[in-house]
Amino acid sequence: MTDCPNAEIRDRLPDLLHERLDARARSAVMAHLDACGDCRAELELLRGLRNVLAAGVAPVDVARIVRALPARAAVRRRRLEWRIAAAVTLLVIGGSGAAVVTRVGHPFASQSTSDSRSAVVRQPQATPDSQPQPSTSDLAAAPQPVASPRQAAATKAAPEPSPQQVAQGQTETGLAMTGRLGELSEAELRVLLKEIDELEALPITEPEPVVIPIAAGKRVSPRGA
Amino acid sequence: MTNASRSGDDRRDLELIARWKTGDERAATELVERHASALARFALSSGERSDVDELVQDTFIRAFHSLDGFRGDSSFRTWLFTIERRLLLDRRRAERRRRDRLELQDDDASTEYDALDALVAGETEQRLHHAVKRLSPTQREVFALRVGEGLSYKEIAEAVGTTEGAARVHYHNAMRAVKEFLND
Repeated sequence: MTDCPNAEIRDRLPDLLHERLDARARSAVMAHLDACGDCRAELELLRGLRNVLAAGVAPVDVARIVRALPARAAVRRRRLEWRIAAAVTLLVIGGSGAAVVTRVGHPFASQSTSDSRSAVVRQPQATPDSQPQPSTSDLAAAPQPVASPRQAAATKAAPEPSPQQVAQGQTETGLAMTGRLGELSEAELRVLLKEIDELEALPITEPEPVVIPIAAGKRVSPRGA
Repeated sequence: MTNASRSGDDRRDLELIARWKTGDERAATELVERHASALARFALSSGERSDVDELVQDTFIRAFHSLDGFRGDSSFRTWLFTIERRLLLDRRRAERRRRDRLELQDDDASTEYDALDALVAGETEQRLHHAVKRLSPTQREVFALRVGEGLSYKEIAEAVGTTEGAARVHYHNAMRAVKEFLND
């Protein structure tokens, strides 16, 4: 069996076999086949090879596969939960977001950030002027990572929202953690995700003030050496 | 060059996916019916000897879990082939680890392809089968998708993670090897 020198036509023979050529290309290939025994032989070979490749394939049990497929609602919910978990993780890893839930004295401080509890609610929009400015000693005493003063104040003022409030979009209460994701309805999860998406400037990347205690009369080099 | 019929198939797939996303579970049945056989053929021609049904099922499960991420840049069937191929490679890696064997080389490819021997009946078919089974795994994958499924080089490149040019070269090398075997 020899090869036809017309590589372009040979390249199209599998497409002809599977009827994947448009009318114009098909006409061109068919016209070539009329005059070319090598290509006719190759087309026959391809037909035989296709049959061999399909040989021995048992009928697939479609019903069994369909039964094993995930329900659409389950996939949607799982995807939603993953998105929220990812968003919350980003917030926490970002630094200042984590402080809101770990700050000593906060009503939710006893809830660990590692137990996947995460209901985040929008914090109230307060002007910078209305925020109390903590002293440097307050900052030094706060556990790390430290929330920005604005966030901490907003959180302290926030009463715990009920899941119903979250679901109804009554979320102007503060950034807080409550309940497991799995306990929330899909509507609640969507509200939650929307709120996370709308959070501004989180995680905050501005550097926090650093207080370096310096003993009286002791000189400290800029490198702290 | 190609082709109205495949475009129609692709459109139908996208319609069914959209219906499934709105909660129509029957659309899933039709999607499985449309593509399960092709996945089984590809698995078998890629040398999968056992549990082809399970591989096809796992492919669909993985696909439906990720269907929100399917953007339709490639055809749904090409996307399924991509998933199935990854699952196939994962299986083989796991099997290799389990058996504590050296990685399969191209020269050893025929050893994994004997399952079909008993299924191919006539003498001509036997020779064709042996010609295919002597191909390297990559050549065989490309050849199966091109000859067995009629995919374009672009689709093959997407499915096996290579370039169109490389897919074309693999196909023509495979075709030459098959002819040489048959001419001997």
